[in-house]
Amino acid sequence: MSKIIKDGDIVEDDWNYIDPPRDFHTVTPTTVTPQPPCTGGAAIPAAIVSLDHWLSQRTQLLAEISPVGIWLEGHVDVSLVVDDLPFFDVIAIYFPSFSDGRGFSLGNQLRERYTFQGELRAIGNLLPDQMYYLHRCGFNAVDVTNPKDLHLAREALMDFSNNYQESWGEDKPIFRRR
Amino acid sequence: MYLYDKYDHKLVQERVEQFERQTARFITGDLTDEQFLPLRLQNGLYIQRHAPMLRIAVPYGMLRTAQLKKMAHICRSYDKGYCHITTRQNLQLNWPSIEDVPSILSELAHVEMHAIQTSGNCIRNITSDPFAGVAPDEIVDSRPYCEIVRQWSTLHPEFAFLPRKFKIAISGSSTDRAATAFHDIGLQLIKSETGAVGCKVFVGGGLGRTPIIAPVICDFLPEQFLLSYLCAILRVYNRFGRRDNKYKARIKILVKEMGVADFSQAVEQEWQDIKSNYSLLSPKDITQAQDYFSTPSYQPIDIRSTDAQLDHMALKHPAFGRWLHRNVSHHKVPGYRSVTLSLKPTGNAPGDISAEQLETVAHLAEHFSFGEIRTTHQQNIVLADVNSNDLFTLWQHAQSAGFATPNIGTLTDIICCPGGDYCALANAKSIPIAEKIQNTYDDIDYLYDLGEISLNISGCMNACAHHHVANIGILGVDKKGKEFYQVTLGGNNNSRGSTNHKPAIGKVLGKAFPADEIPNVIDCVLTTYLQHRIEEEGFLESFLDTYERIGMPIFKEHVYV
Repeated sequence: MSKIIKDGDIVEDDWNYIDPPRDFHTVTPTTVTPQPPCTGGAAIPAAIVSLDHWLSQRTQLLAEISPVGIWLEGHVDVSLVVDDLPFFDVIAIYFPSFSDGRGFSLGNQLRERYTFQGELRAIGNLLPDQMYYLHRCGFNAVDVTNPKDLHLAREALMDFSNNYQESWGEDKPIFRRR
Repeated sequence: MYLYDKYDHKLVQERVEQFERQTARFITGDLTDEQFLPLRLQNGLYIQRHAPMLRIAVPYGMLRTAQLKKMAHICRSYDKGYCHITTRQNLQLNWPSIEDVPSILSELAHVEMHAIQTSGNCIRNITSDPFAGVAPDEIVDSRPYCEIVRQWSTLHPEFAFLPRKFKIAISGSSTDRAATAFHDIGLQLIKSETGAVGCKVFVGGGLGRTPIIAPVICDFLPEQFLLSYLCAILRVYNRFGRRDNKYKARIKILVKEMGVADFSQAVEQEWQDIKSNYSLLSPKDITQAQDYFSTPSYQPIDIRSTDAQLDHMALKHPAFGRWLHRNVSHHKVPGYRSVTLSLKPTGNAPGDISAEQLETVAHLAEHFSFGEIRTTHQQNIVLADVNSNDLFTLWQHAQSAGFATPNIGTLTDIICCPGGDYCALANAKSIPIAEKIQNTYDDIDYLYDLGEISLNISGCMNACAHHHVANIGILGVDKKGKEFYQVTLGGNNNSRGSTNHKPAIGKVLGKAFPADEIPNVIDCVLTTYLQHRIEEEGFLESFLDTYERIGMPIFKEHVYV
């Protein structure tokens, strides 16, 4: 089982992935393959599924998996799953490259506009140096690209002690805190 | 001007420490070139042709004496004794070593300076009118709004990895001296009929490969919504801007591809969701920002006797008279003037300033302008608040320091990028071309006869010197490994007081010329203008007037005979 950063701690990741992003680094140890069509087999514990999977097999997945999560790409239209958000314990947002910042906006939208309360997890190709910004865009969990960066990434959560803008976890902009 | 409090100090200090750690990881190989790239760029560090280049932020062009003195020290200790003022009002060091950069940033932090977001695919330094707060034609002082946006955009967690760089300019006068129509977002502060402050919002302007004059997406945005509306625009861009092709990644392409109406609608939709809960600016918040820019303690001045004295001195010293005419502008407070120190004497790379000169400017600002200095888009320096009684003494000092060339707004007030001498992107050199033109036209009487005219030189399509919007633009191009120059005519960015002209992108004159033909070509263009210019109601036509009246073909005929 691989380790992730969650709520500021390094913890074992107890989630599996179904149909994960193609180049996702944690694929090997924890991926499970669902058995389509549904054969009534044993329930799959804690799995994060792809949007395609969710949209095509929603009812079956809800019956078989508990708890359930979904992973999304940064450009995805949230309205596709907006009514399903209460089902998800985890939403993972996939960053294909650390220079692709779409996921930061999607994270903020999920927290601000859609008031998503569950675990918001950043996955994919990320730099430890992005931890602080990720946290402020609503991500409370990050699966770092390289396991040897885990400690560095956790420390990077404390790169700054203050910010100018309001953001997730900070309800006032600085001009109202001075 | 804005002064840091404990929050700003802490934040900049923590940024310096963060970059120290990142540089150390890069040097030991823990960060690859590719990974270090966005991190160093967001701290202003480029790798250039000969050496790294460090771009230092000057928020909306405002500096004070202690900062200039520190810059002088840094130029001497870490560089070759000079630095460069950019077209976005920033300062640039061209020869620092990577290992020294954390130390330079640490020294800068002592005087409330940094290099945060001066480069990279993020929100860059906010630029503005160098005469903000003092211009007679000002509607709203833009500086408090610039500061509000500066704070909002600094280390904004959502917008640090945009598809491409993002530039915001804010102006608040009837003459737009901040080229707002040529920025990713341009904000023109205005007042409604009831006196409420708001802004006209331009989105998707820019130069580079695809020059576009920004369309307006909101005619009047009430000031309290400034930050939520900016957030909505940036969010739409961050999510939908193209990331597949660097040359199509600016917001201007997104606006063009979506269409202005659809883009505005997408922004509107995003904005409706966040407008009432996201950083709504209360009147108190705005007053607080305005308080940072308190009015200096102006002295009462007997205008009649001061003006008479100035007229007298101008007659007695024609050189002073010329300087007064070209380099000194009116001020909203009677008896005060704003002075532009020219960094464009013949033989000087436009915008370059030595350590000694930085100290001289600091000294002049201390004595004559309440210790405040502004950098300009035209790569000059403005002392904004000068008592008219001090003008003659200031002129004498400026003259001996080499700042008094009376060429502001004339042909030799050239905007020029560093070009092929420094920049790794450039196709051709630009500084030697500027030098040639300055050498050819150093006859002040001829320059004055030519009148208001702008000439900008960019060394490549990235258009750092904004050649598209100069009355005469020169662009370096590469033809089979040789340096050639394309000439454009008729551009205008509305920044030189040409208020009767609309912003315009220059048109290409014709096939490009080798470097040694450029002085002849320019001469031919100018002669054509002088031959055709007419006088109307006692006013001589400017170059742009004539060009717009007679059109490109006549110029073409004369140049390509």
